[in-house]
Amino acid sequence: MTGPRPTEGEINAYVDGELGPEAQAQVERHLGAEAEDARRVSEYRAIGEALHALYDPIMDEPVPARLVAATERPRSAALVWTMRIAAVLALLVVGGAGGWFLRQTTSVADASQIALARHAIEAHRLYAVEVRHPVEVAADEEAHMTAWLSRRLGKPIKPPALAGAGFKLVGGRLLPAADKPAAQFMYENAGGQRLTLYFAVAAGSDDSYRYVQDGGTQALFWYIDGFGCALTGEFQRQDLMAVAREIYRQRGGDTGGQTYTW
Amino acid sequence: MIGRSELLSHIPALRRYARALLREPDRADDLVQDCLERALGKGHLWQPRPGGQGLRGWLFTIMHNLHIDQARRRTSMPPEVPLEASGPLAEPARQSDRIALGELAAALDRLPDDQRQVLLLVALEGFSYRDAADVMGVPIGTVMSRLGRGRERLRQALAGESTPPLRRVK
Repeated sequence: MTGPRPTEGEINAYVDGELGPEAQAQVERHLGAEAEDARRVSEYRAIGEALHALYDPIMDEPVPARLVAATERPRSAALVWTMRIAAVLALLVVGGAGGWFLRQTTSVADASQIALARHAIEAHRLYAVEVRHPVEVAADEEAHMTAWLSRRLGKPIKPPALAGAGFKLVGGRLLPAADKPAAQFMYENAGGQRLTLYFAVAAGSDDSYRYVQDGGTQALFWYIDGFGCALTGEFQRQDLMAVAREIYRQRGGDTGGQTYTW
Repeated sequence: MIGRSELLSHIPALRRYARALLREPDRADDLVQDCLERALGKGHLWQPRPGGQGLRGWLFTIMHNLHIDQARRRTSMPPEVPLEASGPLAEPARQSDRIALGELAAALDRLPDDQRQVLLLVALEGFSYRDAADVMGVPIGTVMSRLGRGRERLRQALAGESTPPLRRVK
């Protein structure tokens, strides 16, 4: 004699090995007596085997390179930036007496430098292409702009004059940098190419100039006098260095008796 | 943190499941890639713990949820299926004992998505009912009823073509 007829659920659970020993033995007894259910079980099992026959070959395929790569690199913007900038190729160091030299090093940028460079480059990309509204305050109101941005950043700040390097001031704007305000000054050369100089209030102990390239955009960034600064543009590194040198020179020659940093 | 080699070890099974679910190799690998990126992005949220999902179950859960989201977004648009991948002709005329594999793939395609998912998780990927319920985010009873319905539909679809008439299930 067999027990009560197993339910659909019990037959499936039997096929999938989900039954306890007692229930399993009971279904087995039932299957011994009911050929039709026994055949159904064997057909269910055949479906499982056929699924394996159909799809198991995929397990033996080599894993596509893009999937291997996906296990390496988190896609979040912050992490991509971290990796890009941690691999900064060259570290530029200000030498004595205003001289520059290039030191090859792989020293790693810290998180605040990474955030600084990232904000600066993103702001550059957003505004440097603007035709009608590249700045909030144009260069013809420079005194007003300087007072306004100094007040908002809480420290005296002034756009350096870069005519000596071939760039004239377009103007400036206020930007958010994490939870603090930042300022961006925009310059343009005779060919209409723009570069931006970005300032965020930041205390950093790193006294080196760091360089990063992201696509066609290059940035130099450094800390000075309580600011994190970034000089960004679609220029060769030596051209950016020439501008940075000019900024450095002006600052050196401009501080005596002045209340502003630059 | 998730170990990279451990993550890599799960890719073949994720690809198998995604391919069975979506049929098209490129779309299937897209789903796996989305899943891996999502997993790494949320890696800090996953902790091995007794009674909890293992990494494999967690990865399948992520992939399941991505698949559901994508399927939902696609409902307003007909699926894009390259001609050569549509229909049983694309499947090699292989045979597994009694079942023509092309017919199986086509019959699987005609199942409702939720029945196909549970059938693949249990019968192909070997998940227990409990683990399949965790992956799909449904009660275990739902897993069992979907599995029973999907499996029986598949059997009847295949039986209609290759074996003598079967008793109709009420």
